[in-house]
Amino acid sequence: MSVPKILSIDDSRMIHTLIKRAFSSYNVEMVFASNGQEGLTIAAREMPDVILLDVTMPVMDGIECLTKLKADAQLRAVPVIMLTAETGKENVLKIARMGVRDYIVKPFTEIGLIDCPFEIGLCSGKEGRHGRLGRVETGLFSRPSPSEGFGELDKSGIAELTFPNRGIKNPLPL
Amino acid sequence: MNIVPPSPPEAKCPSSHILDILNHCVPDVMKTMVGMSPLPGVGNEAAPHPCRLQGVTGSIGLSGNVAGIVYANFPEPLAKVVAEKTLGAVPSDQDIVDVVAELTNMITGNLKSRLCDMGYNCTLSIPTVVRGDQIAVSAKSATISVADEFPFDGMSDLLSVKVFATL
Repeated sequence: MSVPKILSIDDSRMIHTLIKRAFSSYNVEMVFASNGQEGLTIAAREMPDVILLDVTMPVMDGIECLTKLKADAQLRAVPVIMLTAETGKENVLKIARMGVRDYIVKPFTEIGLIDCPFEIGLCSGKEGRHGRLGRVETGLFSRPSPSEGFGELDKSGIAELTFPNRGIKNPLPL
Repeated sequence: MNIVPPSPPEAKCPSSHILDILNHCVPDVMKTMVGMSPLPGVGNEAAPHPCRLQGVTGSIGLSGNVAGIVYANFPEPLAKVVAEKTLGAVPSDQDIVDVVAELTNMITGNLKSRLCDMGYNCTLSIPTVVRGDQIAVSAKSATISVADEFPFDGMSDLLSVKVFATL
């Protein structure tokens, strides 16, 4: 079985360092990009199992990058986890509707960072804490979650967007 | 028939709200990312400007319904300690710049999110960092000039955050 691959797209070297450190004990391969454009190129080449994506970046920001990822037939199924300090309700909802798998709020803890890819069953740990989980629900929703995350929410009612342990639980009218 | 207009965003965003946000998010960012818990901030809702900054300063612009700039100033010794604790290794000069830029981004991102939730939608610029001992900053047209300083136990240096903004 191939080693799971995580692509981090962030313009901050500090974030890359922290991500590298957080996953150093686990059986994953890390690849890095410093903006959305570079991220798209690397994603197409490396075909990662999950993408950690910042919002505010030079050259191409995370929103445009996410739009292009979801428009690419080969990449649209790759789970995207947003990693951003921007948690305003409108911003979260806008991004959620684009089909992200989860949302990590900066500042973040190492455990919170590691748990996210684990929750979607991509990584295995040497401690055996998580093991290879297979594909599991992300816990994003209070009702049965669609496979592509928020993007398939119907717009008839109230969706409770829940990000476990990441400080957001907003009942948002759709 | 009386027509009630929709409620606009709050008529103004008081400086005290911004101070409250800073007093929440700055300690949260520093504790979570650096493992350093600053003591409660000493805020000033009408900070004089221009003001001088010494050390390493991250800045991020806000544009939209609120326009302005946020500065997070770390004196050099504090910036080095913060970078070392964050990265877990002796930092290079570039490491220090990166850490200050990202911490400024986290503080400003949290501030922006709270402002957006209050009806003041805005976007952020990319962080920039300046270093030096005689840097003066001002915002001539700012109607909000807030400063907050955070001491750390056992350290003489203060983390200083300034927000100049116009609604």
